[in-house]
Parts: sequence; C-alpha cells; structure tokens
Amino acid sequence: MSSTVHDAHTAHHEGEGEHHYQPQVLTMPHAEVTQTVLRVASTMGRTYKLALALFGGLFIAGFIAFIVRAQDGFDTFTPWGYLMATFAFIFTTAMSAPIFSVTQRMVRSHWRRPMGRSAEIMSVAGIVGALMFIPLVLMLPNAADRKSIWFGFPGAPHVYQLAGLIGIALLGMAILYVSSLPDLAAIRDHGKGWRKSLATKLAPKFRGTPRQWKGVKAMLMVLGALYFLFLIGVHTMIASDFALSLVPGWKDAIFPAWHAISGLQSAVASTILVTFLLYKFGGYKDYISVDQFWGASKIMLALSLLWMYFWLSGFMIFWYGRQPVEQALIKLFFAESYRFPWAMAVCLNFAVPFLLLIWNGARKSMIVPTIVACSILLGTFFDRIRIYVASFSVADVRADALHNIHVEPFLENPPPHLPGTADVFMILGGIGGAIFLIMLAMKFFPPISIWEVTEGMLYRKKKRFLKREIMVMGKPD
Amino acid sequence: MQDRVVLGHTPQEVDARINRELLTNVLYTERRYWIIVGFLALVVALAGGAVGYMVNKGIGVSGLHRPVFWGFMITNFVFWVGISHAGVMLSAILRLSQAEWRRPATRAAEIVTVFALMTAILFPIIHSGRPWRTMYWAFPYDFARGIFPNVRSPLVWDPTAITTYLTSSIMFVLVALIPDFAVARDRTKGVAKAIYSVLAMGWRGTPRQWRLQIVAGFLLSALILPVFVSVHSIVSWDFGIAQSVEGWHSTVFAPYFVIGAVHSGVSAVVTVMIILRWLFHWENYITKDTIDSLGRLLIVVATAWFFFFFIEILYSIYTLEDAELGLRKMQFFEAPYSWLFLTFILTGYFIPVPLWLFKNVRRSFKWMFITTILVNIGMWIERFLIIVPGLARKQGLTFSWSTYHPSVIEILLVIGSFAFVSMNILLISKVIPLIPIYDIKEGEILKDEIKIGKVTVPAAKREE
Amino acid sequence: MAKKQVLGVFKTADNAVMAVDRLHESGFTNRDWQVLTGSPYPEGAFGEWMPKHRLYAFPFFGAIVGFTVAILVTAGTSVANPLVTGGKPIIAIPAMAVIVYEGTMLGAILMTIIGVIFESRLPRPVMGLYDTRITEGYIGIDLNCPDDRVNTAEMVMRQSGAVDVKHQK
Repeated sequence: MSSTVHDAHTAHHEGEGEHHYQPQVLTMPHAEVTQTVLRVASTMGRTYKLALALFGGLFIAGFIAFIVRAQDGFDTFTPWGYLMATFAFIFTTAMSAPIFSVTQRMVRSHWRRPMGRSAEIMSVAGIVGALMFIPLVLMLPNAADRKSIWFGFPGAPHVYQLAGLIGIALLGMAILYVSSLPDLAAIRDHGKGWRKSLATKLAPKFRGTPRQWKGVKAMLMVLGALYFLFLIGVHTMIASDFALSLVPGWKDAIFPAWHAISGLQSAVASTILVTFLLYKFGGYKDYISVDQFWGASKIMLALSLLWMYFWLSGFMIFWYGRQPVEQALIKLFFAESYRFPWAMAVCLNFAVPFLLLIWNGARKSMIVPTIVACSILLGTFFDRIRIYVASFSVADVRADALHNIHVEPFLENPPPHLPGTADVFMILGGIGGAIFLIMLAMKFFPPISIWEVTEGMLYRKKKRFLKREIMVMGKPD
Repeated sequence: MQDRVVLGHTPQEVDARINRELLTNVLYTERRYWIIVGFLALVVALAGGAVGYMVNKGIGVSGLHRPVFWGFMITNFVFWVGISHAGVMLSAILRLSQAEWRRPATRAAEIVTVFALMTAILFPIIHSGRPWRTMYWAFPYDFARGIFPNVRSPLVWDPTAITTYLTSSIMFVLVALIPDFAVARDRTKGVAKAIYSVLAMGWRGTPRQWRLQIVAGFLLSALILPVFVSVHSIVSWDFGIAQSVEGWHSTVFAPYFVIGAVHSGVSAVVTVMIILRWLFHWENYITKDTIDSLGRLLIVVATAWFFFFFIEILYSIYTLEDAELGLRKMQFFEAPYSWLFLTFILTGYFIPVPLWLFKNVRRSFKWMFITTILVNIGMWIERFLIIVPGLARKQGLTFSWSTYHPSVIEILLVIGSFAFVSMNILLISKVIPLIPIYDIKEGEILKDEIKIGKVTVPAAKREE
Repeated sequence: MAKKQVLGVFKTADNAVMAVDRLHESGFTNRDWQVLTGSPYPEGAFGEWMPKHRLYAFPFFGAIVGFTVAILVTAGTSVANPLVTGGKPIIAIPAMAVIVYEGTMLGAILMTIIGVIFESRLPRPVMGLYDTRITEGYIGIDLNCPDDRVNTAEMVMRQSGAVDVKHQK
C-alpha cells in the first residue's frame, strides 16, 4: 500500500463513543498512478493465462455444441430456448454494464472513478452476444402477418433487432474507446511492444489539450445519452419479440420495462463483481476502496427493490384479472412449469439483496456487496431461463399459430423444458466466451481509468476542520 | 459555474441574517400576504358552498351520469395524490444522495406533499355524495350485521395507503422542524414564545440531538420512499385491477402513475418555490442554481415518464384488439378528447422538455414558472384522459355510450382545491419557516472551495 | 461533591475548540462537557464525546408490531365477513399484502419518530443553562463541573475568548 494513500478507515477520537467513517482520498503523484496501472495491466500471470485458456476452451466447446444442435435445424423454437436464455443473460449483464459508468458519470459521482472503466470493458462481450444473436433473430417469423410491436413495418423484426443489438454493442465499445483515449495515449507514450503500437494507432493525436479534454468529455456525454436510450430500447425490443409476442395472449406493458430494470440491476452487479476481482486478484488495491462498494451497493439495493416492485405491479393485474389467459400465464411463468427458476430469481434477485443490503454495515464492506452481486447474477441467469425457455416452448405448442399469433390466446401450459448436454455446453460456451473477451480486453485497456482517477484527486482533498480531518469535495460546474 | 451567495463574514452575521430572512413571514407579515390569503379563502368558501349544495341536493347536480361515474372529482383526486409525490420524494432522494442544492427545497416540497394529500383525500369522500358513509367502507369495524370492509377491494387500500403516507409525511416534517422551532422560540416573546417552547420540546442543540436529527433524516427518507411508491401504485390499481373498462387493465399502470406523479409533483414544487421566493423575498436562498438543478432533474423524470407513457400505448394496441383500438382512436382523434390529448402531450412533454434543455431557460424563474405550470395543466388532462374516455366507451355490450360534461359544481370544486392547497401553504408559512433554517446554516458551515490552478471550484465538506 | 453547570458562550468555533483543549489540560474530559450549536457540525469537530444511540432498533420493532396488527385486521375481517368476490379466496394474500405492507411501514415510521424523540432525550421540561445567542451562530460549551472548580472553569473559558460565562444558580 502506498504511503500516500489515505486509506478508508474509521477514525478514532479521544474517548469517543462511536467512530466515523472517512472516505478514501488518493494523493499519490500522477506519474505513479500511470506507471502502476500500466504495469499491472500489461503483465499476465500464470493463473490469468490458465483462466484465459479455460474460458477460451469453453467458448470453442460451446461453438461445437451449437454446430451439433444446428444439425437438427432451426424450425422449432424449443431446442434453442437455452441459447436464447444465455444470450439474454450476457445482454442483461455484461452488455448492459456500461450503463453503470454512463449514469454515474452523468451524475458526477466521485466514488465511481476507479470502477467505471471495468463496466465499459465489459461491452466487448457484445461480440459474443452478437454472434449468438444472429441465428436467434433469423428464427423469428416475419412480423408482417402477425401481431407484434412492429405493426408490419417492412423488414421487421429482423432488421431492427439486428440494428439494435449491433448498435448497442458498438455504442458500448465506442464509449470504451473514447473514455480510454487519454489512457491509450499514456500506453502510446509509456507502453511496450504490441500494446504500444496498437495504442499509437488508436490514439495517435491525443496530446491533452483543453480542447481535446473538452471533446472527450462531450463525446462521452453524447454517447452515454445515446447508449442509455438505445439500451432501454433494445431491452424493450428483445423482451417483445423473443418473449411477449411468442406467447399468444400475453399482453404485459410492464414486462419490457422490468426487463430493462433487471438489466440495470445486473449491470451494477457485474461491475461490483469485476471491481472486487480487480481488488483481490488484479493488483489494483491502491485505487479501489470500500467507497466504491458502498456507493454501488446503495444503487443495487434500490434496483433490487424496483425489480420486485415492477414484477408485483404486473402480477397484481394478472391475479386480479383472472381471465383464462392471465391464469395460464401465472401458471407457466410463476406457479407451475417454471416455478423453480422463478423461486430462485425471487430469492437471489430480491430476497438476498434486500435482507443483506438494508444494513449499512453490510453495504459499507467489500465482501457483502460482492456476495449480493453474485447472487443477483445467478438469479438473473435463472430468470432469463424462466422467461425465454418458457416462451420458446410455448411458441412450439402453438406452432400452428406462429404466423398469426394472438388469434387464439395461449391456454395450454407446456411442461418445463430441461437442458440437454448441448444446451449445457452452449451456456458454458456463451458465458465463457464473454469472460474470455473481457479478460483479454483488460490486458490492453487499463481497467482503472488513469485520467479519471487522477482527475478525482483534484476534486477530493483532506482538510483540517477544528479538531478533525474532513474530506472536501469539489463539484465542478 | 455555481453562483454562491455570501450571507455574511462571521458566523453571527450569517446566522442572524438567515434567521431574519427565513423567519420573515413568521415574525412580520406584509399586507399583500393577507390580501392573497383572503382571496384564496373566498374561493375555498365558494367551493365549500358547492360541496354543501351537492350534499343537500344529491350527486345528480354533478355531471356524472351513466356510463361515466368517475369524472372531475376522481381526476382531481388522482392529480393531487400525484402532486403529493413531489415533496417527500424530492426531499427523501435528495437527502439520501446528499445533494447540496436540496437544502432550500426540502421543506417547501414536504409541505406541498402534506396539503396536496389532505386535499386529495377529500375528493373521494366528497365524490361519494354522502361523505359520512365512506367510513363504513374503509374503517375495519362492523358497523352493521357483521359486514366488514372488503380487503380485496382497492377502495379499502386507498385510505390505508393515504393515511400511512399522510401520517408519515406530517411526522417527517415535524421532526425536522424541532430545531427550527427552537430558533423561533429564541426570537419570539409572550404567547408565541410559549407555544414555540412547547413545540421545540426543550431543544438545545447538543451533538446527540443533531446526530439524531441527521440520522432520522436519512432513516425516515429511506422508510418513506417505499411508502410514496406504494401510494400511487395503489391509486393506479383502483383502475388497473378492473378488467371491465377498456384501457385500464394495464400492468404498467403502477410505475406509470408513480413516475407521472413525480413529473407533475416536482414541477409543482418548482412553481411553489418560485412563488414563495417572490412573496417572501428569498432571493438569497432559492437561487438560479436551485431551479437549474430541479430543471435537470425534471428532464430525466419527464423522459422516464414519456417512456412509460409510450409503452403503455404501444402494448395496449399491439394486440390489435378492436375495443382497445376504438378507445385509442377516440382518445387521440375524436373531439373533444383529441384536443385534450394534443394539449396534454404538448404541455406535458413536448413544450417544456425541449425548453429545459437550454440552460438559460432552466436558470430563468419566469420560464421555469411558465413551463412547470404547463406540465401540470398537461398532467391534469392526462389523468382525465385515463379515467373518462375508458368509462365513456366502457365495453361492447354497454347500452348507453355517452360522454361527460362537468357541471359548474365540479368545476368550482377543482378550482377550490387549488385555492385550498395554496391557502394552506400560505397559512402554515405564518407559523413555520418554509425553508429549513438549520439546514441552510449547516450548508454554510460545510461550504468550502478547492483551488485548481487559477480556478476556484465550489466544494463542500463531506463526512462520508 | 455536588456538581454545577457552567455555560461558556463563544463567538467562534476556534475559540470553543481552544476552550475545550484548555479544559482538558485542566483535568476535565470530554464526558464533562457538551457543545451546543445552532446548526449541526461535522461529527467530532469539537472532539466531543458521542454516545451510542439505538435508533435503528425502533423501526424494526415498529415494523413487527405494524405487520402483526395488519395481518390480524385483514385476516380477521376477511374471516368475519366471508363474502367471495370475483372468485378470489377469502384469505387473499396479494390483496392482504397491500394493507400489511402499509401497516408495517406505518408502524416502522411511527416508532422511528418516537425513537428520534426518545433518543434525543426530548421532551426536556427543564432546559438547563442555555443562551439564545446559540441559535445565532454562537457556540456554547456546557460544562458539568464540581462546585470547587467552577472558578477555574470560568477562568479557562474567559481566557479562551468566551464572550459570556453563565453559572447554574
């Protein structure tokens, strides 16, 4: 630990009954931050290499499983339910993660500075996501002769779905690129080997003039606003076309919004998990403190409550409506066929976060928010299975109505569809591939944003106030 | 860049000035205050007369008739419940996020909540035609033949939720008032001093007392936020759980109502703050920064509301059911609803939000006053458009399709409700400071700055 | 030995801190005095003793009471008037949940209010030594002092810049 770091600690005062918490204020020289972060980001230990090989191997295995499954064709939905659920999981977690960085940058929180970049790096999982998405989107029937949110627009839903997903993946990576630009310039100036030459290509002209800084910040704001709008839109489109409109009679305006809330919740969870790993194993202990976990866990708690609230808002309407299709939907998604993944989702996405994070002491730690983050990610995985495997299996039960969905409401409740060997490998392959790319990207893009951390040092100072030390926080603009 | 007002050069100068300026209306009252209050009281009296007339003659004197039995009064109920969401939500979220600019805004926002809620709860009672009978439907007691209220009916949920919210909001305000009562106690004489002494409960300003105030602010904020969300959700379920009225049985209603309430409520707080600033000369406290920050918040809230509005419409028509399409056609394209819809969508979103994108508008009291009034015109109409067209069409087999025309009585009641809320806010301002004195003083103590090169950045001391 | 209250009124926080330091040098500890201010200062700014509070326990107790009462009222009235409406069960959990939720929150909030007042040790019928200038930016140091040391305490406070020192009669 550097001697120039005022570590997060509880200050003790003479004879005091309670201690008060002091946030971390970094005071090390800029050069030290640059050197340390670049050094750590450019070295790859044996364990790291092994992990990369493992996840890369899983990705290949998943791809082989996909080829095997593809032998049976794409005519029926049910066999592809788990691929869809895995894609939806990656989309909801890693691909949605940059929203954490975007929103926190917009509200100008200082504590997010060391964790925003890791959220942005996760956008590279969009490459795996897009690969998985292409066959899935091609399976969708044309929207021209059925009821969907597209009202028969030409090219719907395929063109819009693909444009949306590729758009969000590219926007995420654009945010990563623009936010890394000043750090890429640092790699260009101080890096070695392939990193240096790649950084030179990516950031050839960044010199740090006021105009360039203003440009970077303005670009990040514009891209961030676009990303936010796109993310909500893409969640809405995916929830509509791959779930709602495949289940005849399912009319549920809150579902897409709930899907998006789940994305925001998982985005925070993914970021917390990665930040913890960077702290524990990544070699960035000097830059990460309990402040990041404390700040993010408050948001995670709020989103967990919203997750439950959005679900309840929909459930109350169905439970009270008691129309046959509403009862069938409750049986399918919650009470009968997919009640196990639903029970898991409620426990892991709501109960665990709620019961653990209502305690300030728990929020103000590293381990509890990380446990909750893992819980949320696992819960989201079960939940995506519940939504998409169920919806895909209904689509097959009602195969005759695929081209005229909603003519007759869905009333039959298909039995739960369990994963086969190929499904398991596709799940592992998809998730493994996403992790592989994220780990690879972290060895090029510094996972701690050097310029944002050093900028933060300008705005957070320790000062003597009467008999204690206190943090003074500047809010520019 | 923030424009900071220098209130004095020593702590005594600062505190004396804050006490003097923020207790202006409590200690000395201008003549125009009484003129405004008198006028509002006259309007309230007229509305009161209208209620008496309706109770005497029966509900038939309103414009309610088959099939539209929920009209202006229920619209007004939903509207005022919505306005009530501003206050506590704004105050609670800003406290939790430790936003420095919250300080002058919190109390006025909480007071708006309290009076809006008191007004809201009057309307279903008046609307029942026989107000005293509402007790039989809501109070858990068998007034006759063992018939208890039906807990499966949202009409029982409403009073439960609103009572909880009203009680909590009043308590929230009162607890935060204790230190300010102490300030008033120390500056008054005679009967007033005796009353403030009782209200201040012997407050001295020890560290323990301050600590508890601050912890209570956070804790109560965290407890009231879930209540505030539940209240408008429950109001939305008055409509949502009914499947017989086209357009009401929508799963998105709860959050859609809540975010709409926040949109109209925060706008109302801005309007009220601008009026109070003018009336009580609070130029040093309600600054351009305050309304600029509220304007930014409003852009986000309004856009989130618009998203919910959009998905509500999208997912109601995507199944292409005839009844739903018929309702939407009526709402959007058939007069008089089409005109109302156009007014609503323009005033509720498309005029104010693009204007708020400009910093000059956000920092202009005149423009913010106009735009926030527009929002509330739009949001009142929004509630009307949710409630009335659905009832006017009702369902395929209904034998009388008819629209609704409000009577003079109902129009008077709506106008009276605005006067009632305004009058109450002004009356309470004679007793309590509407800007929290201790909060402003704390802000002055925590105020700081950081020098970066040649620039001085405004900063604040932060404990956490 | 009997104890008396001595209240020093200071114009600036720095003077108050100086007085605190000198009082400590004279053998007083931070359990003997408390600072009175007109607005909250950051915790520990005067090196004051901060006793623990138990406010967090209050909402939990209130929530349990509210929850129980709400369950009893909703279930009780439903069973007492078993009228089936809309094909819903008599004990309808989603419907009851709404009222139980409100009851729980009301209980929690009311107990929090009681907790704040109780833990702030209010209401305080006898205020003790006080100066109205405290709500005008002055800082008060309220010292609990043995009878025989009152003069020492007063001297220390005056030397530290107290604009006024009051004694308990």
